This record gives sequence, C-alpha cells and structure tokens, in this order.
Amino acid sequence: MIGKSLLALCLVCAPAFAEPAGSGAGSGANEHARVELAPSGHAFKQLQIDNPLGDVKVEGYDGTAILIETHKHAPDEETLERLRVSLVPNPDGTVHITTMADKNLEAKPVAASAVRIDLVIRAPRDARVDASVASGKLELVNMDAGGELDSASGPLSVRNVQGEVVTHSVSGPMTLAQVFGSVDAATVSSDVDLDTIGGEKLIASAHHGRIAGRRVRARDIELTTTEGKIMLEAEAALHGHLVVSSLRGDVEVHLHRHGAVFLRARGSKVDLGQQQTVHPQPNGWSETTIGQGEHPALVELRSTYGMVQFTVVE
Amino acid sequence: MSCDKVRPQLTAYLDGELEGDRGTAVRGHLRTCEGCRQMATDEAALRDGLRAMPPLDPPASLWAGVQAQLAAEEVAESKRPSWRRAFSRWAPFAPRVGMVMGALAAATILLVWRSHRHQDVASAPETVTHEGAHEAVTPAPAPAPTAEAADVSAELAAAPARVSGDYAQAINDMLAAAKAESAQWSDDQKKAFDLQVAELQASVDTAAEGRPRQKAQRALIRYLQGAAIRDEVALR
Repeated sequence: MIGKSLLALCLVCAPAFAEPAGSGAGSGANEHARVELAPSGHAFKQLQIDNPLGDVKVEGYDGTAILIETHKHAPDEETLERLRVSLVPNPDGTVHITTMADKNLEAKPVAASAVRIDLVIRAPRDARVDASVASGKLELVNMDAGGELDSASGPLSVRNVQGEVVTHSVSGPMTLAQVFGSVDAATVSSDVDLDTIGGEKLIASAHHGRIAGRRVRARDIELTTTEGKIMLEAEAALHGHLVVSSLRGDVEVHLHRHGAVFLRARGSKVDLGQQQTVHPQPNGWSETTIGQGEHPALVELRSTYGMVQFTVVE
Repeated sequence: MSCDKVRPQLTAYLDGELEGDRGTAVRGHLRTCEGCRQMATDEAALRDGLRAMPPLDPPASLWAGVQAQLAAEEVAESKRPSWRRAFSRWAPFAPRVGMVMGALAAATILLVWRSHRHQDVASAPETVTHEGAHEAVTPAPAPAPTAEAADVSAELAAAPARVSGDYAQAINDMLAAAKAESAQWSDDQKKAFDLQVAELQASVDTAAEGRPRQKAQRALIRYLQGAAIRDEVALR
C-alpha cells in the first residue's frame, strides 16, 4: 500500500515530462512534451483520463506502453507553470491521467479559456478508456475494449472501436463510426451521427437534437428524441427489436430486410410505403407484417406530433 | 502596505478588480504576511464552495404565481383612466430626466467657468475642464471584465455544478413534456410515474456533485423520455 502510494506520489510530483519544447510558438507561452509509460509486470487494462482544459485523443496501437504527448498553452510563463498533468499508474493495471491548474493566489487570475492542455495518447488496443473533457474534442480511435466518454460541450468522436461504448454529453455533438459492440449514446442538446454500427444493442437519445444512423445492424435498436428528427438506415435482425420514437420530431426509417418483420407505427401522419397491407388499429397504431417466416423482427415507429415514414429495402 | 490596508481590499483582489499598482501591492504583501495570506486562502475557499453549490430551481408554483400577478395587474391597468396611464408611463423616467437635467446644468456651469478661465489663463485649463465635464456625464468606470476576474482554478471547481444545472434544465423540460402527455394515462400509470420520478429525483439529490449526480440525472432524463414518448411509466 505504501509502495503504491509512493509510486503515485512520485509520478504526480513529476508531471513535467521529458523533452520540454519551451515557449515561443505562437503568442503566449507553449510547452510540448512526451512521456512513455512502460508496463511493469502486468499489462495496462484501463485508462481513466480527465482533461477539463482541452482536447483528448486516444489512439490504439499494437504496443504495450502508453505514449503521452502533452501540448500546453498559457498567456505567460508564470501561468504555464500552473498547468499540470498528473499520471498515476496503479498496480491493478489502471492508469489515471488528469490535468489541472494549480491554485495560486499570488498569481494574476487567468480565465480558463486563456489556457489549454491537449493530450494525444497512444495506448494498447485492448485497454478500456474512460475519458472526460469539458469543451475540448474527445476522440477514441482504433481500440478493442470500448470505453465511456463524457463531454460537457466538446464534440465526441469514436472510430473503429470494438467493445461496449458509452458516450454522453450536454451539448457536444457525437459521431460514432465503425463501432462493433453495444452502444449507448445520450446527449441533451446536440446531434448524434451513427455510421456502421454492429453489436448486440444500440441505444441513442437526444433531447434537442437529431439522430442520423446508416449501416446500422444491431439486435436491439432504440432511438429516441424529444425534438429532433430521426433518420435511420438499418438491417433488421431475427428476433430483433427496432424501436424509433420521437415526441415532436419526424421519424424516417429505411430497413434492409432479411426475414419477416412485424411493423407497427403511429404518428401525426404515417407513410409505410405502397406495398404494405396496413391494418389500422383503434388505438391509433397502424400494423402490418412484411414477408413470411418464423421469429419476425419487431419494428415500432412512433412520433407523437411528427410524421412517420418507412420503406423496405429488399 | 500594512495589514489594516490590505485586508479590506482582499475581496476586490480575489475578484481581480485591483488593477496595476494596487494589485501588485496587495500581491507583494501576501508574499510576506502569513496572516493575510491565510485570510485570503480562507476567503478563496469560501468563494469556491459557494460557486460549487448547485443552482436552486424555483418551484413550478412560483411561475404560476408570477403569471397570475401579471394578469391581475393587466386587468387593473385596463381600468385606470387614460391620463393616469400616460403619467405612469413617464413616471419611471423621472429620476433619469432629473439626472440629465442636472448633468446639463453642470455642463453649462463648467462651460461658463471654462470661458472665464480661457479669458484669464490661455494655456493650462484644457485638461482640467475636460476631466470635469467627463465626470459630470459619465458613470463610474466598470469593474474588470469577468473573464479576467475569474481564475481557471475557480472555473474548473464550478464546472461540475454548471453541467448539473444544464441537466437539471433538461429534466425540467422533460418533466413538463411528460406531465402534458400524462393526461392520457390511467390513474395507476400516473401514480407509478410520480413514484418513479420521486425515487429517481431522490437519487439525484443524494448523489455527490459531479459525475455521480450527472449519472443520476441522465437516468432520470432517460426515464422521462420513455414515459413522455413511449408511455413507459414503469421502470424496465
């Protein structure tokens, strides 16, 4: 226990990485640095990154070490010295990377928008990543164990990632592409873009924002918006569920069908294509079955105050 | 600079409102005086704590009360004679009109004084007169801009509460939407909805500020979306 604490303390106290580039690039003071953290006995299993001061990019690679590049910017040298990056590896294989600005009552106050720390991290592909930013960009690329990404207003980008991915933001737009694993993406007031998603489950929700998905193939799909439009091009899985719902936004779904589909839809105006034999129900739903076969996929489309449009792509 | 002179200025210093030499003097004193430094540290900690407090959401009844009061005032206004309404429109401007008249009077006096001074002394009084006129019509200089006053460490400390506030706003929106849709629910559904919202809200209230609270807020938002849009009032 004491040894672990000492290790953590030493690394926290030594945040000034190798190769400081000094200042001079652009206005203000800048510092670029790199550090390599090699595993000691056991592989790195998880990265926990918290950077409220700038961007974070985590890129997977085939090595075992963690390579960290930091780019700091401040209006002057005195403020630059207040910017810290702490790196704490734990014996359980978790690595914590945190940025902060020291509180210094003797220094002139400086606004958060005037300083920056950007992190570019190369990590073993099979490490899981939990990362958060405030207004900076957060990217996760080429990883195999998924992760959880959190942003206040910065954009989130996930590309070529396997494993369970969870993303949430207040107003940061989300782009998830080539994700092979369950996805849970939630935002309050931004858009969600999904491209080539394959996994057991896909859940995406936006309060004030649209959801656009294409090349989506998941057993259970649940897309929900309060205000925004939902556009989806997806494949229906046997036994699968596809539930697309909006309160005030339009719903537009293009479905690639491989087996039978039981479809029900409800909206202020419903267009289920011309080839369907639709059975209107007393409760406002329109229902139809497309194709024949056992274990039909269930497709449920609903917009309380918007339009619902559905087409089958054979 | 003595402690007696520094301590009354600590608040302004921490707010970034002391510019130039005044700020430097206080900073220099803090470097050498343990007592004042401790006092500044305590005050900064108090400010950070206040900033980190969650925003208070007014009860829904407050807005209803405000609207009712506005409606009552509009009714009363419509019943008043036209000459009183016209007088009321101008009444709020009376202090400003007085101030403008005062400023004009001061400027007139200064101009008269200036012309006399020009007659007596040809070269010197230009700047003096200008400063005098400036003071007569211009408000006091504004404090330093907020961006300069707020320090990055304080902003970072306040950030979690700000994000929780954004989530709280979304919860209020969704709650209103769910309430509107609940007109079509059965009594049992309404009861189940109220129960679930109360439970989830309790989780939000008891969660620590930061990620735990935001996680609880997201769970509440997701539930409200399901209830308002898909009539899913019981937790799955």
